[in-house]
Amino acid sequence: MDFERSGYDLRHLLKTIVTSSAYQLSSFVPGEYDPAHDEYFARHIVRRMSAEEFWDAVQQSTGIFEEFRVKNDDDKFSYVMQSRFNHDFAASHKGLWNLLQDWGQTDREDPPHRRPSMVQAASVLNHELILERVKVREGGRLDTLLRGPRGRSNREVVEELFLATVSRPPTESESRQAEGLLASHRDQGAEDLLWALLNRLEFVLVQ
Amino acid sequence: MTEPTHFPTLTRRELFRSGLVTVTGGTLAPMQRSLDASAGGRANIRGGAECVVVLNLVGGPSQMDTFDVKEHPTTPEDLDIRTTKLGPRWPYGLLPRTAEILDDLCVVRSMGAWETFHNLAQYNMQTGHPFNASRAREIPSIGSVIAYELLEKAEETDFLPPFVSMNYPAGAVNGTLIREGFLPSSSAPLTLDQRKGGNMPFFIDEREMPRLNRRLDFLRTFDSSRSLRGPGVSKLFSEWDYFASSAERMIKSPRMAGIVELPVQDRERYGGSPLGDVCIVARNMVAARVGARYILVNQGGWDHHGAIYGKQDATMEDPRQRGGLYKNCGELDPAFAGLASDLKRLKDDSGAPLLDKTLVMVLGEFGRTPGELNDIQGRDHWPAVRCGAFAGAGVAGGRVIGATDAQGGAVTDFGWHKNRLIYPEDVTATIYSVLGIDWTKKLPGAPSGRAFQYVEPMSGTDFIGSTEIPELFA
Repeated sequence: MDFERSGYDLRHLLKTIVTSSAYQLSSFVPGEYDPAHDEYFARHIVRRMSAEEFWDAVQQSTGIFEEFRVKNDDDKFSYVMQSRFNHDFAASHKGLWNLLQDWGQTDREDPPHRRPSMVQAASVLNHELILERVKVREGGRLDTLLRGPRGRSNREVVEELFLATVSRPPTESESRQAEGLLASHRDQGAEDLLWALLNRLEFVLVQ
Repeated sequence: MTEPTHFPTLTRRELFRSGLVTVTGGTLAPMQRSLDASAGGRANIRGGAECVVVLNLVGGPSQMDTFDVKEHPTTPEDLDIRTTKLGPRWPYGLLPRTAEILDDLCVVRSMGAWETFHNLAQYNMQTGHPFNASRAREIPSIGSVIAYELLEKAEETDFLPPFVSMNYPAGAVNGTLIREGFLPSSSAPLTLDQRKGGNMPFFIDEREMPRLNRRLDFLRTFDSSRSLRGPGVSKLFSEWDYFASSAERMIKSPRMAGIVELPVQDRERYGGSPLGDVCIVARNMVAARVGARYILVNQGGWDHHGAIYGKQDATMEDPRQRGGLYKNCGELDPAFAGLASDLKRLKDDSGAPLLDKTLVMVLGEFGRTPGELNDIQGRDHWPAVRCGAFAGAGVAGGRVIGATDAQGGAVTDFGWHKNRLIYPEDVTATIYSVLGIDWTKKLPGAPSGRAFQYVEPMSGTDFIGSTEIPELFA
């Protein structure tokens, strides 16, 4: 009804959905919770990020993007969510293609699988593509934060990294822990922090 | 004082309330068991094997060109079909190295399939159950059942999960067949891939170890959500923590590099293909005895609907470049023969060949249409005949079980006491049996409300009745 009244405005529909209290429910309910109520979506149901969500989130968080080319076309794109087929970049980005396969990416004929696995966990801990992205690299987020023209305090760097990865500011104690990391070796500390943020379950699991 | 948050943190009180066993740093020790099992008690459990290695020929190999070779007017001469010293005809042109290990092989020519579509037939093979859409998500595959059964016997030093699957499409529909179903995450497979650049984030340069350790130390206190447990907490937290701990154990093990290492001379001997490479890894896993019990090695490309004999006019030096059976057999032959002969050559602590305690098998999901080739010079799906070979774990080699008609289209002699086709359920029962697992066992409490029986009778009566294949063994 609302959708119809809006003149089938997709933007309006999306806004209505994401600003609704049902959509904004957290998976964490204060007090006692009966898991049987999951059937009624009484809270947000925790899920693992899909392959495409995961990779695009890693790129977004670290500020280091791949460049993909659409097959037989001049178009370029940076988010894997934009690809029409995963085979678009199977040949040009073998390592990444393999990583996404392990995360359950499909050719979209079949539903992607959402199960966690040992290889997925290992890839966030130790995959070359992740380790490369948490480095202070030209053009990356860490580079901008640590070397940018506007000098940022360690506290500001920590807060920005939290916002860029888990979309919330740190708590007092988290801030203390993270700032301690940056205090002695700033670059190394920031790299370690970014790695740890990507490895927090909060990043991988949508809560 | 607790800070006000909208995301998970773990207070001391919650930690004790949730009754944690360990705070992260988990091991491969089994997660708590909550399933009460009942055994059928009818089965004769063979035992004697420590490992099973399955070479899964995905797509369905042509029986009358491989393990049950027949001569047709269209059979290329270079298949070089001759009689072996043991009697059976053999395609020396395609499987020359395998011919050298026939003394250790029991070739089976009287298997069959229930299904004629790849995914359904593969599912049947991987689980030992017919596909049932309402139960597919809860039915574990064979490797997961084995992991569930054998994790109890895991050694402190083990760092691999019991179930390893290599070179299987991870994301595609086939990949979803290989899973733990309703069993705990500790039964899940480790899926490794050596194709297209590989996916092995499990080993690390020694020089990078201090960095990883430093980061892991920080993460342990930094991410308290890893240890969240309790009735209201999603299972995903404990599952991810478990997988991450297992991965960490593998990455940190100084022996991991030796498992995935591919020495040049071995690669040459095993054929230098993705299949050969994972067969070397499989051999290393069996020899190292570090937890892997059911190793599924997959080779795709056997679905030869067209150009089954490849490009005959090609002047390519390497016959594998011709495609068709030349490519598949060209990869399979050195890999399989290399694996089986290495397992025979390598000895365990007691001086016995590893092959004595390892069941190795090679088979696909169904056979291919007999007689003349189809319009595009290929062969299509044929469930009435399925072939394969078994070795090790007490299998009596140098023999053939079963025989087919002149075209290889129908079994004329089943060659075993059941006097019917050998089905995937029978092979499944045999795998469980050699590992000492009661294949009639039932686990209640699958989410559907039904019990999960490791191998079900294929009919309501003994009319078909699944069983292990005693005729394979001496």
